[in-house]
Amino acid sequence: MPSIENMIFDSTSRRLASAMQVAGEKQAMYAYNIANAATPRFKPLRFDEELKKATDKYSNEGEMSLEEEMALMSENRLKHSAYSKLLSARIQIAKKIMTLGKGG
Amino acid sequence: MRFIIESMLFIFIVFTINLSASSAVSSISGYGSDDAMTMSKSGILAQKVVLNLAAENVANATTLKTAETGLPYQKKYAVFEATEDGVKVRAIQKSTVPFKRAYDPGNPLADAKGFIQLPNVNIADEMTQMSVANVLYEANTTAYKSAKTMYQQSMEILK
Repeated sequence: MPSIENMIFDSTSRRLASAMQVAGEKQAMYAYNIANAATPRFKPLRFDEELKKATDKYSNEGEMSLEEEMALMSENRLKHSAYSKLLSARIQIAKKIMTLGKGG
Repeated sequence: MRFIIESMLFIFIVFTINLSASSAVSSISGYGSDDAMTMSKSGILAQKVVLNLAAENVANATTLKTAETGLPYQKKYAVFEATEDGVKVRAIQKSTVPFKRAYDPGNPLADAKGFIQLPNVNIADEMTQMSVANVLYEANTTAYKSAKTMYQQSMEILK
């Protein structure tokens, strides 16, 4: 028996919200790495799956690369933008339903 | 035997250095785009310090005597440290590279043999440092703008 809460805030919305949260965390991580680009003996932070990808591609995983950080950061921003637009659309649909097609 | 002990000591020292190099932030969970803005801001301010010091070093490249030490000007440089909210200037240190010597008997600061001591500032090094700091400043500014856009987009969901 689906409750009203499950109909409006379904698993899609919840997943989008948590994806946005992860994107925010990643943005903080890239900002931290870039801010410490000139710190001696600094090793950049990485998410686990990225670390695996990086070790497949290059051998110098613990090294700081400004270009890589910037590229990953802009990719992350675009993803976040997509998630936020999708979530926005999901909320618009919920509004449409709640107002019987009038609002939203 | 002695060789083994020495090499073990060396390995121990290397490991200790590596441990001390581990970053201040171990897990990023709980951080958000607002923290990203704080971190980028700290990076911008740190690079500003580097730029200021490079300018000071270039300006004092021919200062033969400072009131503080009575010696020629010593090159200054910033030491960075990773903290929980980005980067921090831990200390501003003076370079201990030996002063250059030049023969200038007419100078009032010359010693008995007619030599003067020149600051340990290398102009080419300073220009390179400035250039690197400029690039890093811009990178941090871009990161800040990126975090700001993300924050704004999150806010627009409320509309």
